Amino acid sequence: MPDLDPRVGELLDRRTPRVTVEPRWDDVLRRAGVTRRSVVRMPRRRWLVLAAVLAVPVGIAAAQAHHVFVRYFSGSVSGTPRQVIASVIRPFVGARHIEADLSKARHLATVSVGGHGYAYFLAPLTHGNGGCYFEIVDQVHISSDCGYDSKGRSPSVLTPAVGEGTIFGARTLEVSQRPIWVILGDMPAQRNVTSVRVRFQDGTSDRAATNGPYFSYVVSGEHARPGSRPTALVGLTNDGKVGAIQALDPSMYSLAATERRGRAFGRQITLRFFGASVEGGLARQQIRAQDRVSTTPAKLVQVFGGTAAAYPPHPVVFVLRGPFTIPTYLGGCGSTPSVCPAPVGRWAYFAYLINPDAYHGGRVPSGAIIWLRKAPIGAPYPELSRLGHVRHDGAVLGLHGRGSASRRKHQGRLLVILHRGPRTAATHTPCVYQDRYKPFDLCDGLSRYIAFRRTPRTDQTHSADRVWALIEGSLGGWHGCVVLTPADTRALPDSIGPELRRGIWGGRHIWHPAGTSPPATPRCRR
Amino acid sequence: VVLKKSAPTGFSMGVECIQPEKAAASPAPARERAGATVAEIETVYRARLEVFVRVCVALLGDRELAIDAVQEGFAATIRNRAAFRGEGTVEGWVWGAVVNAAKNHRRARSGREAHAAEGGPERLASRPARVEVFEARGAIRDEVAVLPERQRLALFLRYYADLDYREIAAVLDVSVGTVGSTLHAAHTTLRRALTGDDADA
Repeated sequence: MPDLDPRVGELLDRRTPRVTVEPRWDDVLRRAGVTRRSVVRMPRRRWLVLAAVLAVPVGIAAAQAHHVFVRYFSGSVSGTPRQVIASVIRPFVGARHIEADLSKARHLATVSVGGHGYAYFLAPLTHGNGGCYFEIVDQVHISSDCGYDSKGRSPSVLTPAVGEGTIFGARTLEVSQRPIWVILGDMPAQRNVTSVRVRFQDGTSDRAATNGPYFSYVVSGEHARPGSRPTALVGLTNDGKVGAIQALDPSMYSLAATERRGRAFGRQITLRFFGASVEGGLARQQIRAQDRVSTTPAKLVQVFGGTAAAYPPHPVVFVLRGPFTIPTYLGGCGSTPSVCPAPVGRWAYFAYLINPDAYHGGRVPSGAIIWLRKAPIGAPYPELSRLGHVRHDGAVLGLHGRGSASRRKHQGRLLVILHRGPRTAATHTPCVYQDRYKPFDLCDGLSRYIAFRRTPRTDQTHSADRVWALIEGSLGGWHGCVVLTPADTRALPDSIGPELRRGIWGGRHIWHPAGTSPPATPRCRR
Repeated sequence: VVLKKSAPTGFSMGVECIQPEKAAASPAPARERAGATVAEIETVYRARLEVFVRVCVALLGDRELAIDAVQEGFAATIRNRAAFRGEGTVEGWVWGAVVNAAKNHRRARSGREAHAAEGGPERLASRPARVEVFEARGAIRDEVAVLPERQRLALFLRYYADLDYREIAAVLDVSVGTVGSTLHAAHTTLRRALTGDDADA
């Protein structure tokens, strides 16, 4: 399959030039029926359910505070919520037999606020430890997250996050943009916990609603104010003893703190995708290419210095090639120059590594990316080949079209006269090597043929053949002429013949009629 | 256990390449993606808006219509963000919605034009713009326009959007091999069109 032919690329460039468009994200949100405020403050919704077996639901409670109406339901999930949840349940990747068990799902709480209903559901997994939470807004929009521990540990161990991996596996979810949060979790059966109380900064506590092994508590009103926010979950056994305690971060129940975390998260996004957006502090047009290579700490030390202990055991190195001219901080990078990748100045390249051991899917935590070098203009490009096999990508960053002329390598030009039956045609083929474009098979094939033959004969004749090709020109320092037939190419090694055959007779060239009475004996000029 | 990638854009800082290694080496708990976040979609929007618009301009031949299709496509992804399964990148998923929106716009325009051809009120408004576009692009536009829809779309996604075969396959809902053959056919047709010669001795 030919990749983008430069000529076709030019054609397409002329047909539809690049466009400049002013982003109107607010318009997108308006069309989607979403307000910006609610979007910005939406938290990460992740939660881990530890138990695999559900008991009979036991708790029903109700609460109403500050225009918030909370209902805790028992029983299984049915009706519209069941259909909505079923629409998103699917097996885990790589573990096809594991998925959320809808038959054991429980509806834990519904929070009505601002005319909208936020319903929260929990479901264990069909196998192993883990489960999923689901949030359905107005019975239409759903978001969910699942997790399970492949080693069957209880409590499960997941990426560090507030609440996750702790004794209750509790997760706090923000409700809309209001100072309302829902704490979901389960009661650790191994500690004989049968009830849960939420402890607050002011020393008071309140009982959480339970549903089977799960519990739920809605934080709102006075408990969202400084000095009264939640500080811990306390699991009690039947005889009133404390079976488990999980500390809670009171700042989790502060909108201001949530917003700060949102901004920090935004910086992570910026860090991760800076190459794709000028908002990330780096104009993507300046990124000429990206090199990446998997390596070892010892090799990293040789190329980038430092100590092996400072590097993760399986680093993957990325280098963005410039030159970069950064006139000002973009995308809020002025306040976080240590995080943003593109400090003001002129730079030759940016090198960083990703630690795959710190990346567990989803968003890249800040610790997973380590800067290696921000090289000023004039700095020599690192010898990445010393790190291992380098994968070079000059197209991934949107370098549409022709690229810079300096990166194109013209290796020659060939005239091909092709004779087939009564017809003769000719074509000129440039052999251009460029990151983005795969050269014609003819160029590749012929170069290998030349290397294979070393000194191809230039006086070949094939008068007896009805099909032949005369190739004349220059290629990579070779100047000459060869005459080939399909039979010739079939006699070549598999690494050469098929490609050469494709290049000549594969129909990739635009042929110009060269007359109907070809010379009976094609012969290269001496 | 295989971890799921959830890169919000096509340019994922190499996450694709490290993901399989991680999956093979680590016993860490797996995560299933259900739903994309608005932040992820916004990241794609801000990073790749002009590319989305360019493809839609190529498809629709009208800048304003293209912008509208892109806006609508992104809005659709937000409305349906819970349906994202994390099988590919968020951007790849968004592309499907935007292309669908562009197709809807084209169908709607076809309907309007059919109405205009019968003397409808939009006739005067729509005709000059189309003539202008056609004349500006000349014969090249003809050659691209006569390509089958799938070929055109694959070509635009490959060239303008820089999507790889796998992503194009997801948008077109075809196999990766079909993408290759589709692009090959489109290239062959266009190369011939460049010289006005279809001889293949």
